[in-house]
Amino acid sequence: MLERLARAGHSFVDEAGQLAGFTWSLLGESWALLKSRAALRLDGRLILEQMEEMGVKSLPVVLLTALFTGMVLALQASDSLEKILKGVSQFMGRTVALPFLRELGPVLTALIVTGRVGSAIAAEIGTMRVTEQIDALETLGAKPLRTLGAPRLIAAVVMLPALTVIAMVLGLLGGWVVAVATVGLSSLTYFGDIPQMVTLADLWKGLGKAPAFGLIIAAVACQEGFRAHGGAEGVGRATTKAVVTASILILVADYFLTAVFRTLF
Amino acid sequence: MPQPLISLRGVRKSFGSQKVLDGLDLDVERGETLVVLGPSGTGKSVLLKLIAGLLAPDAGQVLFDLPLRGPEDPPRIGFLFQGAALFDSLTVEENVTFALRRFSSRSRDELRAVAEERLAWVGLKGVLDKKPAQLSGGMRKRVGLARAIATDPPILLYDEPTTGLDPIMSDAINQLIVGIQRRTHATAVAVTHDMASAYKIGDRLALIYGGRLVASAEPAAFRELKDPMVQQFIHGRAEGPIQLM
Repeated sequence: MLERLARAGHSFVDEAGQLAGFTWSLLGESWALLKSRAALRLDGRLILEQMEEMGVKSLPVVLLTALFTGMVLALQASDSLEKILKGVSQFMGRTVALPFLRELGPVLTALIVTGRVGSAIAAEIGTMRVTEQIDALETLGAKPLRTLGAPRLIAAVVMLPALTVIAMVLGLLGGWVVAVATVGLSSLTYFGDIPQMVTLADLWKGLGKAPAFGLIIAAVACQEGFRAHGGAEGVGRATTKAVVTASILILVADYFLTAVFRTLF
Repeated sequence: MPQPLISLRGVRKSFGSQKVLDGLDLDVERGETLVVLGPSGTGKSVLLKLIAGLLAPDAGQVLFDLPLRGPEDPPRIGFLFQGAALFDSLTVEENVTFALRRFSSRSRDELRAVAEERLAWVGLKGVLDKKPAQLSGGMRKRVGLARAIATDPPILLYDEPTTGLDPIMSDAINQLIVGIQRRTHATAVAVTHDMASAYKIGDRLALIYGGRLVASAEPAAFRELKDPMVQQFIHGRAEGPIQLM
């Protein structure tokens, strides 16, 4: 039993080390891509394509998820507030806004993007690996990490905050719909309550997590794609592992980032 | 005596416990097309990837008699992969000119002209704007060939160039490889287990088995070699010193 635990611990440390090393290399290649005009001329288009893929095409699912989560949160908040004290539904604005800005906005967005985009990145790069397209890139003088990984990392780090802001706004609007239509609050009461407790620091506490989550999604998905082997089955395994690993890392990172931001802001 | 362009000296390569190359010594002379034969799983593709620098040997050396390549120089090795390995997201033109766009300052029109020319060399017209998914297997292979020769590399590597093709298309690809060799005078290494292809494109044939070179000779002499492994392989017999893997 102890031996098995030790082996699992060793494997975890080994995997974490590999991911850290890969992420460092990916960051280096991303920086090299951004600072070189020649490299940007060649691969800059890929950054825009990835931004469209991650940002624009993820919008519908992010919008819907945030809207309905905001609505559910408002319903639950209404029930809870009424149980605590009759007539305190007027505090619904802050009750929805605080968790949405600090936690739900960034975490929900990151998990959705992990499922939609992280899986696609791992599958696409994994397919390129098993069909020798990555070997072909190298023989043609390109650096696979820069050509394939860097544009995805840059796009994820830029688009996650943008999507998170949109998710936050939609979450608040979802809460407002329920507050007005179901609970019977006025718009002024709902929105007027938000600044009573929610500050700009709360927005930064949430928004500050988004680039880190983007980094996790891109790094994990690219690493699993590059490591894929064994044909279609291997690509499937890489895709699943990318989504599971990135999702867990996002939740773990969320805890530590929250702890850090609590001391900073 | 001229130096061989490519020299493999005592090259060893293993994957886990599987020993693939076990001290392989092999020379490829300048301008020749060497065909490396061997049953499946004997490390033929690994040999090509070692020459291309895609894999590093565990021991031994892969040496080139070429000037050092600078960071601005185009790749010196053109590689035709078994499945062509075309980039799915790019058009045929973008595939063919991929390395040129990185290592030359040609205009878009010039690049398109080069792509057209190289595609004409491999017998393709009117496919510049197509995506690889819109091409047949033989066409993909030919686009892969056009991409491999786009920068006029001094070394060409062919991994199973006729695998998966019908006999007529296989012969067409063989003819293209011979034609490209005459046109470019590149040094080429092709791995295959297709004897018809080997006789057609090879200036010299080499058989590897057990991670080592068994024999090598010009095609006519290769046929006459008395080595039982060579004879078993040429005649495609299941019984003999070469064990099925």
